[in-house]
Amino acid sequence: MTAAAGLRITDLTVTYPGPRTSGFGRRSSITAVDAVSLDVAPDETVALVGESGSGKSTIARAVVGLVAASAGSIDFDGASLLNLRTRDQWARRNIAMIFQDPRSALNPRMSAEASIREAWEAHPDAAPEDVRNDPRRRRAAVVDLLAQVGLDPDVAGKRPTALSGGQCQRVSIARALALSPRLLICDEAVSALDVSVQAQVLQLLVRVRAARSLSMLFITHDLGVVRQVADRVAVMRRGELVENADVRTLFTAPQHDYTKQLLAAAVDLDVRG
Amino acid sequence: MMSGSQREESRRVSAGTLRVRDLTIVLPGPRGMADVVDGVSFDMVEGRTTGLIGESGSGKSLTAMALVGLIPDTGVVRGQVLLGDEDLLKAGRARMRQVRGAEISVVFQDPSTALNPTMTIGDQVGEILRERGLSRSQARERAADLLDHVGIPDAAARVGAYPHEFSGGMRQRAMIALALAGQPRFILADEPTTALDVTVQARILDLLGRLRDEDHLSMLLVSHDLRVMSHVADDLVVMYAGRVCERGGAKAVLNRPLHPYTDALVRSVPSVHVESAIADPLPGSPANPFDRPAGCPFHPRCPLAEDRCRTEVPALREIVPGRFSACHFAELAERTSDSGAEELR
Repeated sequence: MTAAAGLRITDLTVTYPGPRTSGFGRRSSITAVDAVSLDVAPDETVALVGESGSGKSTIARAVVGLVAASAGSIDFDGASLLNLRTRDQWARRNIAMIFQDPRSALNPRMSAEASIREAWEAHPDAAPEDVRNDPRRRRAAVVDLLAQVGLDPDVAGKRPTALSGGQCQRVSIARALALSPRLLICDEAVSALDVSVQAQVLQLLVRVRAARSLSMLFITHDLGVVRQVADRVAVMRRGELVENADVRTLFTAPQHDYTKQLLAAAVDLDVRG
Repeated sequence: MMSGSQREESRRVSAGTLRVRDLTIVLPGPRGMADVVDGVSFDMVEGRTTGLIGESGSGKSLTAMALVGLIPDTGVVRGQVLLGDEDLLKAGRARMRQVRGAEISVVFQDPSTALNPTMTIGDQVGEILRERGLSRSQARERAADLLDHVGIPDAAARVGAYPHEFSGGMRQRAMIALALAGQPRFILADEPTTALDVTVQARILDLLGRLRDEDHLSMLLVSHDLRVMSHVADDLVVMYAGRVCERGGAKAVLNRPLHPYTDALVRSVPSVHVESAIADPLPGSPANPFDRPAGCPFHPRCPLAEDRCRTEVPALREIVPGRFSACHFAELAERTSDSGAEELR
């Protein structure tokens, strides 16, 4: 069998230590993610939905190594992301994550250009070849990345405090793209943005995903956004994956009671008289 | 000087509606003082929910806070906030403390920071009643009634619980019970469901609607969430860069906006229950009220902008009865309205 391309999560379990029941007692543990299996193919956007505490962000954190898996496996293009010895630059440079609050995700003391260059300096193997070989090319490469996310060259010299929320999120995306990722994880990446700015960033993410044939794991609580950007939807509840279906099927013929509840609770703009 | 009873009398005459007139809030900014809220007028009508909608920098939360005298001391507030004949902007601190809770209560976005973690829920809800002279046990009993009224199950047993023992939705219900304790006629709810999960959100919104009807409250709902607004608001005030750009009946405003900004907002809400493409986004970001563009503040992002919009501030005008728009070209949008919109008016 050939190794599967893209992200493959198999029976992933993540447990956190729970509250100590007594001074001498053993800590109970809380299972945040319980034997979840999920694939994201190249060119595919999979949305992970569920309420707070459902474990959707924990899955994202496990994929990028911010939390440890208690059991199961996470592979990307056939190589494990869990075993530290194989967790080399190759794996790192292929996965980038974009967070909800772009202001706290960017270093407030660094200009947009410095943030992007820092990514190259931290992961020199993942920097584009021309940038790696010729430091003088870096400025042009920064301007090129900013242009790809719809920002003017003069943004390069600005710090996050001088930028709007939408501009900061574009800088975060440019920084993520600087390492030519193959998988982009968006954790509530548009939730903190104004609604008139949200569409800009969604459009940008969809364009970037198509242009670079990325796999995208898109975590959000907004089912309207899910319907616009996702190919497939995985529904999480209390650490378990309760439904996984293509986007049209999930919205038109949900199977699990919890999915039906979520859809029933999600209101649309009501303009009827 | 009016005596206490005279004042009581005059407030009863027309106190069902809170009238905001030409409200202007001046705050210190990076380049000196700036009128971050500029000439805002609207009514909170008795028994109705008024939605105050806007994005960051719109001044919606500041406007709500000004109604209860919670603008920082470094700021200057002008205009009128009329509770009956009384202008609350002229009221002293002692009177405003009385107004808050007894006349106008506030429900904040995040119940976990708005509640005191070291006091039981019952003591917090009952605090204002004890100040009014009820005994501790009477206040506790009334607190249990209020918690029951806002849908907290087994309320009598839970008055002794602390906020951390409640879920997020239950804390927000407790916050609402606390707001109701002083029997106010006006409730200001600032993003009351934003921090909550969608299934909880729906229940809290139902509760607010029920309280408005049962207790005859006037409600001001401050939110950036158009979906929520469309289900809860009776009247809508749309703010941009510290000014009102559109005002009217909520359904009519959302169904047929008379301002290009409202129109863009409505189009940019992704639909859950029907398939929709990502909207053509507006360029740029919401205007900064400390650095408001000249003329119409929306002109740099507006698809209809002409020279006039760059220089001339559009007045908020009544375009059709009950519908106001601050767009030079509002009649254009009005004329293109179909017969369906005609009925909605």
